[in-house]
Amino acid sequence: MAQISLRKILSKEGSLVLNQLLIPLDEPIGILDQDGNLLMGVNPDPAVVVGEKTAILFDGQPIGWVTGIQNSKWKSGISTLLEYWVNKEAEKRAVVSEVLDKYRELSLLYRLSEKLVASPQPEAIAKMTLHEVCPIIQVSGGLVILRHRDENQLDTLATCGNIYRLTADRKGSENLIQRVLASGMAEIGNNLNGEDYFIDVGKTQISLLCAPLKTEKRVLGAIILIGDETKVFTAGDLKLVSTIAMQTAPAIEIAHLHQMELEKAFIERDLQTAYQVQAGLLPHKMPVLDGWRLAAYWKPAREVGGDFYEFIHLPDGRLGIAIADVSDKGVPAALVMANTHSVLRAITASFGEDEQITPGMLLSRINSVLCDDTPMNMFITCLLVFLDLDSGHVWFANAGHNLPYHRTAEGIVELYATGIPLAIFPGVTYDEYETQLMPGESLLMYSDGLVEAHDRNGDLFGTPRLYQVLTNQARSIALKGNDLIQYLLSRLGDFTGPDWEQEDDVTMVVLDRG
Amino acid sequence: MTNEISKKILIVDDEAHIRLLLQQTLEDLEYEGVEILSADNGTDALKTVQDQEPELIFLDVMMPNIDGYNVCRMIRQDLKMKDVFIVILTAKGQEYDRRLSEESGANTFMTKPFDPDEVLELAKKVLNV
Repeated sequence: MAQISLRKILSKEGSLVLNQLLIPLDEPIGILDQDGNLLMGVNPDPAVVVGEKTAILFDGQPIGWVTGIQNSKWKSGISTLLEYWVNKEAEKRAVVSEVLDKYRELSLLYRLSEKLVASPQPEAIAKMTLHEVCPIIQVSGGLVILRHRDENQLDTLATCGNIYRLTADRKGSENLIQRVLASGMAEIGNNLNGEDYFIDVGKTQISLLCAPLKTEKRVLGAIILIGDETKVFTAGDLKLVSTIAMQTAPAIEIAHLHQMELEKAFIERDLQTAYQVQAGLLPHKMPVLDGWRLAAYWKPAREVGGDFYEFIHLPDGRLGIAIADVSDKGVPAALVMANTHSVLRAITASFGEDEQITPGMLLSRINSVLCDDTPMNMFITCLLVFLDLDSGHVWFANAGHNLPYHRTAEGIVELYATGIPLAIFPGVTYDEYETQLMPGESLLMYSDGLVEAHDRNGDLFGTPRLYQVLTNQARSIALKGNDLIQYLLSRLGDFTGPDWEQEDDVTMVVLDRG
Repeated sequence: MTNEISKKILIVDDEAHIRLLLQQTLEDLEYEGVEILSADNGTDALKTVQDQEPELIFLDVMMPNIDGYNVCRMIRQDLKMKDVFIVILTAKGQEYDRRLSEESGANTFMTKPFDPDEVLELAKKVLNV
C-alpha cells in the first residue's frame, strides 16, 4: 500500500481550498495529523475530549483527525472530503508506482540485453541474469539450472541469495520444476513444501517461480526463483521472468556452442600436432636400394591412427620391413602405436652386430615388452619381413596381421603366416616362414583398413576382392610401387563410392625387385 | 526533518507524468530533509534555480521556448552556478545527444524511461544523504 501523508496532501492542492472553506465557518475546526499535531485550522479546545475527534480514515486506519465542538455540523463533512482526497492521492500513487515498476522492468531488460551480448560464458550469463532479476522480484534465492542433453540430470549453473540445492528426487507430475522442464511453460507455485524441492530446508513453506530457458528446439533448463512463506509471486512476476528467460536462453545456447567450438578448435589443433608428431615417427623417405624399390602409403581414419610401418637396417645387411596395426582408432590407438614403434626400434637397436636376428625372435621380444605396458583390451597386429637384398630371400613372421601378397610370374600368392597378436599373452613364440622374390616380382603388405572397407550396401571390400584386383591387374602391365598403391586406392574408391568416410586406418607397403 | 538548511532537487520537465514519476521516485529523500521542487518550462526552471539554488537538477531536453541544453548553459554561464549537479534526462540516447549534453555543461546523462533505482541512487550520492 502506498504511503500517504495527510500533511503532504494539505500542503499541496488541499491547502488553499480547505483554508478558504474553514475561515467563514461559524465554529472552530482543526485538522490534526496522526500524532495529534495541528496541520490546519485552529487548535482544539482542551475541553474537547478524544471521543469527539472525527477520524480521517485510509484503508481502515486513521491517518489524521478533524476536531471541533460537540455536535459540530462540519466535522463529518470535512473528514469525508479529506478521505476522498486521500483516496484519490492513493490511487494516483499506485498508478505512478506501477509505471515506475514498468520503468524498472524496461531498464532491467535493456541492461540485460546489453550484458548478454558481451558475455561469452554460459555461467557468466546465468549469474548476471540472476543478479539483475533477484533484486527486482525480491526473492530469498535463485537458481539457473541446465539439463543434460542426453539424460535427466540437472546442473546448477548459477545461484543468487540463499543457497538452495535441488533434491535428487524430482520425479512425479506434482513437481513444479519437472513440469516446467517437460512442458516448457512457466509456472508459479505459492505455499509449497520446501523439502519436496530442496535439501536442507526442512519443512518450511516456500514459493517458487520457474521459467523455462527455451530455444526453438528444446528446453535447456530453467530460471528458478524461491521466496519464503510470506512471498506471493504474481502473474506480473511470471511474465517478467519468462521474458528474461526468453532473452537468456539463446544467449546461453550461443555461449555454450561458442565454448564447444573453442574446445573443438583446441582439440583439432592438438590433433593436428599429434598427426604431425605421428607422421614424423614414420620413415621420412624410402630407403634407396640397389635392385629394389619401396613405396608406402599411410592414412589414418581420424586425425591420428594406430597403423605404422618401418624399415630396419639389420646389422647383417638385411632389410627389415614392419607393418603394424593397433586395435581401435584415434588417440588411444595412436599412443599405443607410438609406444609399439619405440619398442620395435629400441629392441632392434639392442641386438649385437654378430647376433643372428630372426623376425620371429624380434616379434617375441617386442611382445614381451608390450604385454606389460599396453592397456587391457588393446593389441597390435604386426607383420615382420626380413629381406636379403642380394638373393631376394625373404623371412617373415606374423603376429595376427593381414597376410601379404606375393606377385610371382605365375600369379598372386598369399604368403601364409600366423601368430597371436602382440600384447595379449606374454611368452608367445612366432613361427617363421620363408620365400624368395625373384626379379620382377613384388610383395604387397597392407593393413585391414583396406580390406575391411564397406560399400554403401554394407558389403566388405574383403581379401578375395583384393586378391582378384591384384590378379586382374597383374595380367596386364603389372604396376609397381606407388602406381600399384594408387591403383588399389582407385579400385577401393570405386567400390566404396565418393561419399565414403574412411572407416579404419589404411597402410600399404610395396616392395618390388627390379 | 532536521534543522539544517534543506537540500533541494529541481525537476524540470514539460510533461506532468514525468514530473510525477520523478517526484515519487525521489520522495524517500523528503524524509531526509530534501525538498523537491519542480518546473514545467525552461524559464520557470531558471527562475527557480536562481531563487532556490538547488543542489541537483533533473533537466528534460525537449521543452517549449528554451530547451534543456540551453537552460543548462544559462545555469552555468549566466547564473554562474558551477556546483549544481545537472542531469540531462531525455528520450534521446544517441552519442550525438550525449556530446551535446556534455558541451552544455551537464554532469551526466540519463535516458527515458529512466531506471528509478538508478535515479534515486544518483540523487543520494550527489546530495550525500
